[in-house]
Order: sequence, then C-alpha cells, then structure tokens
Amino acid sequence: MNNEISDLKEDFLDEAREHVESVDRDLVKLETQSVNPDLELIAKIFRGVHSIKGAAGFLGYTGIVELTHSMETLLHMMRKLDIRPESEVIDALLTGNDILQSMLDDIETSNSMDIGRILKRIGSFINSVGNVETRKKMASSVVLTDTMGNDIDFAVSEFKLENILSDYTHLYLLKFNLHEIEKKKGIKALSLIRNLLNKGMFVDTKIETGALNFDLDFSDTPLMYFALYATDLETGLIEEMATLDSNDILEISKPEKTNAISDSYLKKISKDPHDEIKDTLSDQKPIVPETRGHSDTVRIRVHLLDQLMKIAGEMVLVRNNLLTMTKSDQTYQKISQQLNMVTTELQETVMETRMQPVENLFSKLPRIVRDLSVKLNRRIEIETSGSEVELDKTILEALTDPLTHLIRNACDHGIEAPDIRKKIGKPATGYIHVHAFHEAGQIHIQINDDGKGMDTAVIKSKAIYAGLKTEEDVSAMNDKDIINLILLPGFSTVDNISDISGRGVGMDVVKTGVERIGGSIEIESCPGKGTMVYLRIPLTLAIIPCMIVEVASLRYAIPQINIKELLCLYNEEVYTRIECAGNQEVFRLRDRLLPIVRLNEVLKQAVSFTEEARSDIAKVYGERAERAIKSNDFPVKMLNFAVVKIGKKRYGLVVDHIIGVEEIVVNPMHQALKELNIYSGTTIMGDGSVTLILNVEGLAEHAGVRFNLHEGKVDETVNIIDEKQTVLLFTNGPHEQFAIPLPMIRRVEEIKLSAIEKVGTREFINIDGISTLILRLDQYLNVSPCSDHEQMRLLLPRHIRRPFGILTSAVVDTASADTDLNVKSYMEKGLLGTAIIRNRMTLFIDIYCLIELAEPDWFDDRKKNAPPPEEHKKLLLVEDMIFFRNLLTGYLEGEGYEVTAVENGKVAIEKMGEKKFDLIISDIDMPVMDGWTFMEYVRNESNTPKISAIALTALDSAEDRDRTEDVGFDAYQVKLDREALLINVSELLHR
Amino acid sequence: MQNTDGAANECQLFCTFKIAQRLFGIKVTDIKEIHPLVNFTPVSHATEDVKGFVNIRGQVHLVIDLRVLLGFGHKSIDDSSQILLFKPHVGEAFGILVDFIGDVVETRWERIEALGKTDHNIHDKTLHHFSDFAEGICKLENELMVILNSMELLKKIEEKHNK
Repeated sequence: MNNEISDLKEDFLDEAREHVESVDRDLVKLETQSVNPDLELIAKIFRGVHSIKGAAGFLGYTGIVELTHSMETLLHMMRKLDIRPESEVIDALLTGNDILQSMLDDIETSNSMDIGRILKRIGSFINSVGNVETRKKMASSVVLTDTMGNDIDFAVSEFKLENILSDYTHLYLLKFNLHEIEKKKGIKALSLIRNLLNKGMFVDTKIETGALNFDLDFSDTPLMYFALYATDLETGLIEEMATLDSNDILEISKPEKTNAISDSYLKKISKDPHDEIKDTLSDQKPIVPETRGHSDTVRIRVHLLDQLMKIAGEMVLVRNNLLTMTKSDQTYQKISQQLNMVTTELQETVMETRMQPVENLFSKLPRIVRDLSVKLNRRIEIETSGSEVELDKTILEALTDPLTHLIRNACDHGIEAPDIRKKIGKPATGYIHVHAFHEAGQIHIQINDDGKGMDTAVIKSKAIYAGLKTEEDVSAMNDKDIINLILLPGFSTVDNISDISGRGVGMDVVKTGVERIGGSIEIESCPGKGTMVYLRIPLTLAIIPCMIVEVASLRYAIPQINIKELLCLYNEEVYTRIECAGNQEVFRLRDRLLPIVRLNEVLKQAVSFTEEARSDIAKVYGERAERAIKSNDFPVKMLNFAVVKIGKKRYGLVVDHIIGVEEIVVNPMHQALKELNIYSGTTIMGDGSVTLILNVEGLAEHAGVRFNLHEGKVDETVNIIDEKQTVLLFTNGPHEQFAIPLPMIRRVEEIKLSAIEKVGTREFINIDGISTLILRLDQYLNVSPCSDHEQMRLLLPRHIRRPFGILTSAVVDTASADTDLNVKSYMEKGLLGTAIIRNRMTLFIDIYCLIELAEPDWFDDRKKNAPPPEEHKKLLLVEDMIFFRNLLTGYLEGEGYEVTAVENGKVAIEKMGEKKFDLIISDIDMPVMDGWTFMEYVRNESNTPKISAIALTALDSAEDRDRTEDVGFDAYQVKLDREALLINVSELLHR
Repeated sequence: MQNTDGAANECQLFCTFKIAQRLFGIKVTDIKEIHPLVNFTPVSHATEDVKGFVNIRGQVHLVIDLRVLLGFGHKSIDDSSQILLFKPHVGEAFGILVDFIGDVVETRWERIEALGKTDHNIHDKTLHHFSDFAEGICKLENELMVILNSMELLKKIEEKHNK
C-alpha cells in the first residue's frame, strides 16, 4: 500500500516537473503575444497547470493545489480575454511557476511553504477584472454533508465557506432543543450562544418547531435550533460547552479543499488595479532570490550522503594515519597540518548535511495528542520548544518511535480525565511540554506532563509480583530508582497495566530504542503532580569517541559514553583490593561493591559463563592474590580497569592497557557475526588495522555479572566501607533538624504524651516495663522547645547502661551524611558538630555529652571502679571513618590522653616507626590494611610486640571475635560504647 | 547440476586455488579481487573457521579460514597464503583464506559433474566435509577440481553463529 503511494508520488513528481518546464517555456512565448495571444497556447498552459493541480489534490499537497488554482484562475481569465498576457501578468505567473518548481523539489514540506505573497500578487490581477471569480462564488452554494456522507439541509455560499474554513478547522451542525435546555439544564440559551461565540462562529442557523400555532402549543412542542458552527474545538469539548449529547453534534465534512482558495485576495476590495500590481511587485522584490533562484537548497539522495559520509570517514582515518607518522620535514608538517584542518572541516560539514531539526519529529506530536485526546475524552495540550535543535537523520528517525510512545503514555496514563482534574484542583486541560536543548555535546529532550504521576508503592508491588525484584531489593531503593523499575523488560507484562498509576506500557521498548542510538532515559515523578521523562541523545552515531584498550596484545574500542571512570591499582593493591563475594570478584569503589569482569577471561571463553566458570575464575585470581600476599611478592605491578555503565548499572572491566581516546567511525558488525553479543561493531584505526568495538552490556551478560551486589544487597562475607555515615534525622522544636548516627540508636519508640510521668523535675515513661528517663533536648541545648503532640517518639540509644531516651517530635528520615562535621560555624556542649543534610543545617547530637549534662553522676560508676586515667599516655587510634575518628579522639582527649589518629593499618605502622605509643585502639574493617593484618604485623614484626591493643569494631560475630583474639588484640570493643571503651583503656594502661 | 550461466557448452572461467594440496575452483564472476593477508584482527567468540577482520582499502572484510571450514585443520599463514574477496552479490564484504592461488581455468559446464553422481575413483572421505559447499567436480588434465558454491560459504558461517 505504502509502496503504491510512493510510486504514485514519484510519477506525480516526474510528470509535474515536465509540466512546469513546458509551462515555463510557453509563458515566455506567450509574453511576446500580448496584443494578439494564441489561445491554443494559453489552453496548453492551462492544461499543464490544471493537471498538476489535479494530481496534487489527490496526494494531499494542498499548498500546490492552492497555488496552481490561482494560476489556473488567472489563465482562465486570459483565455476568456478578460486580461491580456502583459509582462506584469506573465511575470507573476512565472514567479508562481518557479515557486511551484521549488515546492516540487521539496514536496514533503511544500504544504508549509509560505505562498501568501505570490497568491496575493496573482490575486490582484484576478481582482482587477471586477471580482468575477468572487462574484461567481458568492452566487454558487455548496452542498454540505456530514462525515457519513448524508446531506444536511444548509446552503452556504462557496465564498463564505472558504472564508470560514480558512479561519477554523472544524464545522459542526449543532442541534439544540431550546425548551429542554432551559427547563432541564437551567441554562439560558442566550448565555450558551454567547459562550459558543467566544470559541467560534455561527455560519448559519435555523429554527424548527412542530408547533403550528405559536400561541397554543409553542410551549410544549420541541423548539429545535439548528446551528452550523465553525470552530477549532474538538467534538469532546463542544459537547461539554454546548451541553449536548454527541448525537446532537454532527461534524460536517469539509468541502474539497481545491475550492478553498486563500481568502487573502478574495476578500480584497480592489483599488486601482495598477497600484495594486505595483504594490505587490515592490512587495515581491526582496524575496526574489528564494523564489526564482530556488538554488540554495538541492535535494540529494540519502544514499549519496551516506556514501559521502563514509568517504569523509575514511579520509579522517587516512589523516590519522598520516599524523601518526613522524617526520621532521617542515613543509611536510605544514601540509599535514593543513590536511588535518581541512579534513576536520570536511568531516564536520558532511556531518552537518545529515543534521535535521527536531522540528521534523516534534511537528508530528500535536496531531498524536489531538487524536488521543479525542479518543480518550481528555483535554490535553502539547507544547514543544527547542525544535530548532538539530540531530543526525538516523538518530531522529530512530527517536520517532520512543518519543511517540512516551507522548502516548503521557496522554493515556499520565493526564487525568477533565472531571478528575477539576476535582483535585488542576486545570481541566492537561499539559504536556516537550523541550529539546543542546548541552555538552548531547541533545537533551525533556517530556513533562502535569498528570497524576506514578505511585511508587504500586510499582514496588508490581515489580515484586512480576518477580523482577525482591522485597528486600525494593526496600533499599529510593523513589527514583523505584520509578525507573518500569523500564525493566518484563515490567510491562504485569497484568492490568492501567492500574499502574502512570506509565508502564512497553517502557522497556522505549528504553531499548533510546539506548540503541546510544542515548539514555531517566524518569522522575511526583505523585499527583506529574512525570518528567528525560532523554539524552548523542548528536550523531557515525563518529563516536571511544576509549581504546588492549587485551592480550589486541586492541578494542569501548564507546566513551559507556565509560564512567578509569581506575588503576598498583603493586600490592592489585592483589588486595579485588575481593571475592560469593563467586563474583568485586572491588570496593567508594560506597559500592563493583562487580569485576576480566576482559581477557571473557574473550577466552565463547560460551556464556556459568556459575561454575565464574567461581573458577574468582578462585584462580583469589589464590594468586593469596600467594602473592603471603610471599609479599607482587609480580603484576599494575591493574587497569574501566568502570563501565549500562544505564544505572556499573561494573569494572579489567584490561591490560588503556591506550587512549580516539574518535572512530563505526561500522556495523558483519552480518554473519551479528550474534556475537560482546561486540557492537568494527572500526578502522589510524594505522589501518581493524578494531572491534565492545558492547559492554553484552559483555556483562556473557560474564553473567551479578549486579544485585551493589543495589544495596551485600554478601555477608563482605562489609562495605562507608565513608558516609547513615544518620537518623529528626526534629524536636519547630526550627532545628538533628541527627544521630544510626549505629548509636537502639530503637525508636512511639509514645503518648499522656503516658509520661513526672518525678520532681524529671520525666519518665514506662517502656517494656522499665521506667525510662526522658531527656528533652531543649533543656540542655540552646534550641527551640519541643512542639508537643500527643504522639511523640523516643530515641533509645545503644550502649547506655541506664534506661533513657531522647524525646523528639518527629523522625524525618534516615540519610547518608558526610561525616566530616563542621565544628566551626556553630558549636556547643552536647553537640558533635553540624553538617548540611538535605539543604538544612543539621545538629549532630553527642549522646554521651548530653547524658553528662543531664545526669552528671551516671558516669561515676566508671570513675569509681576503673583506675583514674593517666594523663599524657600516648594512644594510637586507627580508624578509617572520619566521623568515628573524630568522635573517639574527642572522647579520649577528654580523658587527658594524647591521641594520634590515622586512617588505616599501613599508616599506623609508619606512625609506630616514628613514635612510641602506650596503647593501640584499632578498627578492624579498613581499606588498604585491615586491623587483623595490622595487629599481626605489630605482634610479629614491630619493635613493640607487647603493646596493649583494643579492637574496636562494628563486626560482632563469634568468628570475628576469635580472629581478633588470634591475631593478638588484648580486648574487643563494639562500636561504640564510650564507657566500656574508656574503662578498658584505663585498665589496660594500668596493667 | 544447476546451470545458471547459460547453455551447457558455454565456457566458464574458474579461479582455482589449493587447500591441503587439493584443487578448488570458484566462478571468476564471483571474485572481486585477490589480496595477500597481511595483518588481520582475530574475533574472539567467533567459530574457528573465522580468521578475523581485515581492512581492504577502508572497508572491513570478514575473512573465513576456508581450510578450517572444509575440515582440513589449521595451518599457519605463509607467503603463498592469499585471500579471495568476493563481489557484493555473494554476500556482505567477505573473503576466504586459501593456501595457494592457482591459474584461471576455462571449462565447459557439460564437463562438470555433480558430486553425488560421480563414478570416479574418489574414495576420499574428506569430500564429505565439503559436500555442503561443493557444486560439482571437474576433471582437468591431471587433477580434479572441486567447484565450490561461494554463496554457501558465508551462509554456513552465519548458521554456525546463530546456533
């Protein structure tokens, strides 16, 4: 079917071009016969123009129809000798013919071409002979039919109709029963008509009644009011506005558009025809180059452009090749530099030829939205901006489907029905905004709607139901991650999609589509307020920057867009930093466990990795590392890996060498090897060799990477080193936000204010049968008093012997916070410092200090029972987390000890070489060198093997305790019981 | 025997080459050019019969190791190793690696016999290996030329990878 149409188009174009050429010749010939024109010649020209018009009308090229129609009218008058073929007239026709030519050259945009001027110019001649056409049109009436083809009983003059249809898009026949409207609906007919007039115009009206005698039965026979109403509104909106049933609204088919000449000249009342001609002539002059000289655009076959692109690409390669040669000859260098510049420019220009404005895509959207809003009975408006942004043709084409899909989704699942919108206080008309902009070498497209957004709870349960995620997985995810779950393949197959409050239909298809062209997609949603979809698209596909890596002496290219960062491990790190979680090698990258894939291993094995294969590899490298660590001999001095990303997922890809970044021309993978999923294509390097482009997603699939490792679920054998501390955020008074590190809180208890008992100035509450002291922050800190509600919360700290709780009005959330606290801006006793969390200044509570303020005698136990601290004893504190390091230093210095704090075992060993210490307090789980290794060294190899040492750790299993004892720690303290630690310190120092 | 190139007595030119001392022929009309194999990029995960990719004047070609595909096993590349590149109608840019390029041989279609029907004393089992690709056999003056259907070569490689 499509082929037939495109064949038709080709035929039409070929034929029309021939006609245009002959019309051009004949018009010039006609000009010489201004006195006695050859009627045969005029008829020939007329036939030529007429046949273009006929075919164009059939194929829907309305612009061409409009232009040819006016030319035809003028020629018709010439044939009747109403007007002579004088040079001004011929000139106008020639100009028209030229414009026709350029419309044919760019047929797809011909409808949007501005032909107002030429129509006006031709029209002025037509008008000059007494509005013959106009008069005729005024006299002739058009038979109107509804969309079913039935005639309706309204006669409208052709002229009037044309004028109306140039102003409004739709014509309806509205049937009102005036009696009913007033009686049943209580609407005054007059106000109704006034409303309708605001949005359109009545072309014609008539009243019908069955009443024979107005006086007698007028009041109870229906009084029908028929109105022919022209408007831009859609049926659905008319229904609402006119308070009519759809049965009472008939859409009238537009009469064939061939009759609809632009009104610009029909309306015109002719002045002196010659003035008019002069006017339009002078008007016409400035646009001469774009009309007659239609040469600033040329239509080129895409195939030819592709070819040119390819050759330009090759030239880039030849240039690269040349540039790699080193020659000291000055002339050579100069020429090669010039070649370099010219090639770059050539490449850029060729790329530009393929660029098309997003407009081409955006212009299709209003129509989609219009159709959907009618179908769904919703009011939706779409606005696009940034349509001048240009994208590579291929990308633009590939983007069409995903974008239409997103718009459909926004209409279908996003925007609510008008009555619902009104109910929740939104404007009845939903609004979609599509915005494109250029940033950092990428095109960004943002699709916002003000619909109902997405309900994370529903998405969560659907994802669990569909087996995509476990309860555990989703509970660790933030809202944004949850929303983006809808992009997972398989999510859309969840039953009853419309229940998912938002999108869901085939979002994975959208994602795949966008990612295929190297783009990415992100979704944000605010329940009740709307959804934002964010697309990032590369400008062009053909030439992309790639990281060139080397494995087993072969080079591979990884698209830069897939690379997050490059990391390099040296010497013993090569062996110590890569660990094993289950059968997956991992690297601790900041707060995440990064699965590690060794490219050499992946390339070695053509079959996808089984669990066994993966664990074998992990074992081999694990054992190798163990041997190396044991013998303290590290044969491999360097390990390179790239942190690659696939959407939100990351993994580390180990390679032998990283060569550098190069712009490469991408060739698709050879058809026969398409199934090799680990490659995405080939390219030719500067030296002429072929290099394979890696598909990082395919690699991960092949290697069976377990990504769940860093989605919050951590293997029990591995502990994450967290440079950030999770804190509990809460409020007390109306002003301040407080934080307490989560490990220091045992639990949060909900209490009723009325259950608090007072004993003197103190307040107690019964929790689990224990009278618990309540501590109000505003009594000890300079903060606003607690906002009392009936429901309050009590924070019960960990490691405090006596029962007490901190009263809070509300727990805000848990948050991950920087543990490097600010102690300069604001400090008072009872605080550890401040930090900015979620844009608010947050006070970090020092629980121990607070207790000292509240109940100074609580800690007397220690002071009585433990030996008094010996001042100026030198303590070595080994702790990787800044937060605990600072906290502990504070506590220990408070007792009068001299504290040296370092971040890991390795640094501690160095410090021990410089200085003599009396006691070591060491964390176990630390980067670079952990506490166990450190202690083994201290006991076996240091100058002070007998030094007292306390292990201080959050690890709390029997196994950990045993190992701590085995390596030689004297004591074991859990993070963080200040009292127990201080007792332990003073005891050990007195030993 | 299918004859696509005209009457039975019409002459046909074959480009001959040798693999493991055996003579093979491919229609000259299928061949674009012959090129020495300088350096190539091996493709991990591809089957053994895929030698790798080469760049011939800016275009990436897949090279099939015909020796392996026909079941003769590996042999290292030497000075006489060449690649035969095919015209586009045979398949997407590819070539075959052969041990040795021979002459162009002219023969009539009628002299070519289908592989199955042949009653020559060929008891060579290796023929079975390449019966998938052999279009026929032609007896030359002092040896037999196995005529390969170049269309089948790339198809086979693709099949193997789609498994």
